[in-house]
Amino acid sequence: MVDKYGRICDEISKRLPNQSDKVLLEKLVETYEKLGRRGVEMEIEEMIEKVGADA
Amino acid sequence: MGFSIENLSVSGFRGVNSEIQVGLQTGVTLLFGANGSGKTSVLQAVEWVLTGSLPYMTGQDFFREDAVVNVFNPERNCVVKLELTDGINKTVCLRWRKMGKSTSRRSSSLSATFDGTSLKGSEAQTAIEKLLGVPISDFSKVAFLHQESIRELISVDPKERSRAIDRLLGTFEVRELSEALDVRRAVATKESQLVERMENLTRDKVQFTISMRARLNKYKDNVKAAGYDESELSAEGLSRTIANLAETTNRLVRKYNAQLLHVGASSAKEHGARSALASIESTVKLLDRHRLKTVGELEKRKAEITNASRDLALAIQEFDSLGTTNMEELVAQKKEVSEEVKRLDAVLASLSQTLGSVVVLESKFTSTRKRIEDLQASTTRIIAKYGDKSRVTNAKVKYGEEIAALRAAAESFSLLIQLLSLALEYVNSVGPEYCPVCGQAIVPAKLQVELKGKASSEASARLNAMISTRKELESKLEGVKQDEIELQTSERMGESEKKRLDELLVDVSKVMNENATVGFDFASRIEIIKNQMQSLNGHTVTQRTKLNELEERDLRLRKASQKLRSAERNLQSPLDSESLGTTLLAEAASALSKTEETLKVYGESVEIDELLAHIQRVQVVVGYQDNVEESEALEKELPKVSELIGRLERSRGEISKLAGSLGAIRQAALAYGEETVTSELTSLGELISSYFSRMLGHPTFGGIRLVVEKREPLIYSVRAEGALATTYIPTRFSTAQMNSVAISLFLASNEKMQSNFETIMIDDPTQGMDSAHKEALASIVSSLGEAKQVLIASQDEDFREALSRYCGRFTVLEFGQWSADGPSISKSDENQKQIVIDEETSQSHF
Repeated sequence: MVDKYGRICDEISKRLPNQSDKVLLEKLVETYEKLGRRGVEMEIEEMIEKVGADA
Repeated sequence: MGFSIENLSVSGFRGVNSEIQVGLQTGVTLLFGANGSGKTSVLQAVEWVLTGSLPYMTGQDFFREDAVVNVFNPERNCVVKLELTDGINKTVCLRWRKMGKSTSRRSSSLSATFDGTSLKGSEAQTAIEKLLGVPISDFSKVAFLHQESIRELISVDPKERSRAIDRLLGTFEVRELSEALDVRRAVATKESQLVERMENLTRDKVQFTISMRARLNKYKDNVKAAGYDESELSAEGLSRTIANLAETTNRLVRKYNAQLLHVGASSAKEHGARSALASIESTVKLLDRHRLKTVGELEKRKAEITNASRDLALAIQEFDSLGTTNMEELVAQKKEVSEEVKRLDAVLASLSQTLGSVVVLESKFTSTRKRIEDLQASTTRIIAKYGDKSRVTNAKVKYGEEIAALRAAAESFSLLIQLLSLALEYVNSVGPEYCPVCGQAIVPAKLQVELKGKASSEASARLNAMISTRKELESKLEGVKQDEIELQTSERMGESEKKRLDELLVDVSKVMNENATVGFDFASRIEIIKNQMQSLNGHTVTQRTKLNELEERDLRLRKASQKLRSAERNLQSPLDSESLGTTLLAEAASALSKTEETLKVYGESVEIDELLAHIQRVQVVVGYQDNVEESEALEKELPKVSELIGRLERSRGEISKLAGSLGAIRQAALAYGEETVTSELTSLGELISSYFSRMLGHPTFGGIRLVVEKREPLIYSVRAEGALATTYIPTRFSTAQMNSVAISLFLASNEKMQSNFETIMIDDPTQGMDSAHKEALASIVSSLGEAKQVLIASQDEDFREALSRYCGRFTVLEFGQWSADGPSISKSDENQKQIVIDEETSQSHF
């Protein structure tokens, strides 16, 4: 049986040239698998807030 | 052969409360009933037990409460059990859940049995996925056409339609992920905030520097305008000024003799100008309070000495006005007169007592003598009646004897009367004709009358005479007896009264202190006593007046003396002296003079006022110095602001980098989604078109084609194709025809996918369809039912009728009216015979 989310991650990753983007993608797909779309949105919001909060 | 459902048991799930058990066969089964009767809940139960999710239950409403567990279930949990079979093997799936606070928060528990092997949790889920032959997330694509998918496809919004197509094609997750990655707006907002903050900081930094310098210059101008030159504004000049102020303050502390700490001359250098100035100001204010308090105390002492001196002078004057008096002589005089008054009072009391006794004795003496005279008169009267005393006794004896003789005569006469009675009784009873005594012939009746007449008249006359005589004698005897008693009583009482009279004379003799006789002259003696008492009374009044005068003089002297002593004590206390009289008055005059001199010193406040005014002026210079120091400190902080602006700039760069990464991922996801959908639509194109054509039966537009219309966001167009023309279905076709697109897409996808699960579930497929479309759909379902197990939920009577005509193996599950316990289900077999299921107790399958 092929893991659907693994397949989605691999297919999108193939289209990314940057290694750091591939790592970020993997993390986001994992979040989507566990928590759905809202989980991904919250994680990205936290990332943006964290970058801004350092200043 | 793949797996299909053999048995389904549901309790506490969605619209099902009490447990229901449903046995299913291959072929077509229609779940038939009114809206809200629980049909969809049964189909959702199959999806939930296999996948653990309900795809359309997302959003705020589902977050607020648990939509999975039945709201009326007493145990507040749900259990769904599904038995699958491929004709040889049997698999049992069991999923349960306790009611949570929201639909998505609480997870469910799963167990499954495969050929006797029990698995739980993720292992069970993986095994179910393997059994289905497709990913769990593709269950909708393969096995369950939701009514929400149909509704979304019918929607006029192209984005909604495209989302529905993604669900049917299994590319929905890629769409959602790419949408979640669209952070352009959030990044723009954050960047805007950072830029605004950087701009504000830069502007504030410049403006702060300018305004601080302007403020300092203005302050400096004000201080100069107040009369300070440049040298005084320096820190050294300020220290010198504060040292001078401290010296002046210390001098005044000594002058006013205050118990205060001296101010250090170099405190400005040690503690700072503001602190030193505050310390000096505090000391000066305490000093002023001490000065005012001392003035108050001196004023009080002055008033105290003045008033006490005046009181003493008056007391001396008053005492002197009473003259020189020997107090011992005055006391002796008072004692002598007082004793004379006491003696006179005693004599008067004795005379008064004698007078009272004599008056009482005189009254008793007079009444006793009167009673003796009355008794003597009574004795004389009785003796005169009988001649002498012995004749009274003789008269009593004589009358007694006469009465006794009369009694004897009366007794004799009584015997005669008794004899007469006996004779009469004899005559009356015997009636003799001859007298028994004389033998003379007699007539009894005549004799009786004569005897009675003579006896009664004579006897009565004689008896009356005797009675009268006796009464007369008895009366005389009684009179004699009375006189005798009265005589004896008078004699006895006369003796007693004479004795009493003698006793009274003895008493009088004692009271009057002389030998009193019967002829004692009470009246003259009483008169003499009264005259004596009157004379003594006059003398007593004179002595008493004299005593009062002596006592009044004594009282005045004592009061004047007390007043003098009190006035002396009042003046001795403030002067702390033991002197008396005029000496004390002289000391008071001297002390008063000294107090007034001290008051002049403490009453003067010019120096303190000037010092306080000076301190206030210096405070302006201190304020200027504070501003200078504050400005210097703040200017040191300016590089930190620059550093913060640099950090904000770096954050902005990092956010841009993050946005770039997310954008790249999003573009890659969109590209993948587009390629996948295009590929999927290409491979399913003929099948979709075939199903659509069978349902639509349009004379011109026999085929259908789905293409990617736009990439960002992914929008698909649905076009109808014919030999003569091509058109967009949403623009020209009816709702039922769009519905047919959804069903075609689902059936094509199901047919294309290689799944081991041979059950197809379709929820409310005839939305907006006319009878011709329903007939066509029934025909398609009937052919599907020959190879698969088809479960369809519908409330459509026409569709049911069409299915009954087309389907060879057709079963109807009738859902009754809604109740809190859940659906009541009955079954119709091919021959439409209904079997009622007891939802509480039945364990049998149908």
